[in-house]
Amino acid sequence: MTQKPRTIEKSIFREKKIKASVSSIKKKHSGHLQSCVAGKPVKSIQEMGAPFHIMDKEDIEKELSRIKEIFNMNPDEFYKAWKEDKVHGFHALKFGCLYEYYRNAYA
Amino acid sequence: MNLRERATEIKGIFYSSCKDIIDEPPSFEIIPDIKYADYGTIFEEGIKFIDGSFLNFLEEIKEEDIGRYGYEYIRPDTGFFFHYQNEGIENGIRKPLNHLHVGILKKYANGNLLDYLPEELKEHKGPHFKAPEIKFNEFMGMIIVCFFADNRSCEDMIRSLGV
Repeated sequence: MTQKPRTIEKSIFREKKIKASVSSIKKKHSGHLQSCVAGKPVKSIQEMGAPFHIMDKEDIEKELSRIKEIFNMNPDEFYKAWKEDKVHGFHALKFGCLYEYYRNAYA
Repeated sequence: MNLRERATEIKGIFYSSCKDIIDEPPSFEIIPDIKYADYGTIFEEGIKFIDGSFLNFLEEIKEEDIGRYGYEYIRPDTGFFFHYQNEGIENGIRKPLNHLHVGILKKYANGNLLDYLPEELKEHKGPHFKAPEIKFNEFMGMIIVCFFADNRSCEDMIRSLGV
């Protein structure tokens, strides 16, 4: 059984003007994450000593601002096109995932 | 597998198993899931190999497994790329859930080469080739045996990856 491409109904960037380049993303350290399942603190990825940077809202907005440069669309247009299989490639997947995360977390 | 465990595995691949062919040890971006700290997305673009080729990596860790993923390998000297992915979008044979793209990226291809290529080999204009779900260590193994077979660590890397 196949799954039809879905579209979203509302814009997550109605009132926002996002403008930045990826090179300007600041590397920040985050604190402890809170496990929602167990309700107890868990050690952050950063504390593993591994080369991992946890993205915050500002970082994600800066990444999403690259959609215009790469796909010549605003984020909402891009997401609709991605779900309708009109844009392809690694960046389409990445921006699609980031868009969904941003919508769920901050919109 | 949770997000931290997977991050540790990914680090192991680039910083230990395959370090001999990685030009610069990469850093990764992580987006922890808003509800479950054990879930999240790990990605990085432009992880460079010692011969100038590079890969783009994305994995979504969800429900103790890898959900959506994108593993793309690019050779800028020719423009050749292959890209395995599961975008979480399935549309029958038009777009199988797990699929492969193979072609030449215009950005890197020599101008004359593009004149001879059929459209379906340019960018992602070809089919979404239906493919089995691939693991990242298998993807790395393919790169090693195809493009780094002469490297003195080739067999060690393959063994370390378990492929």
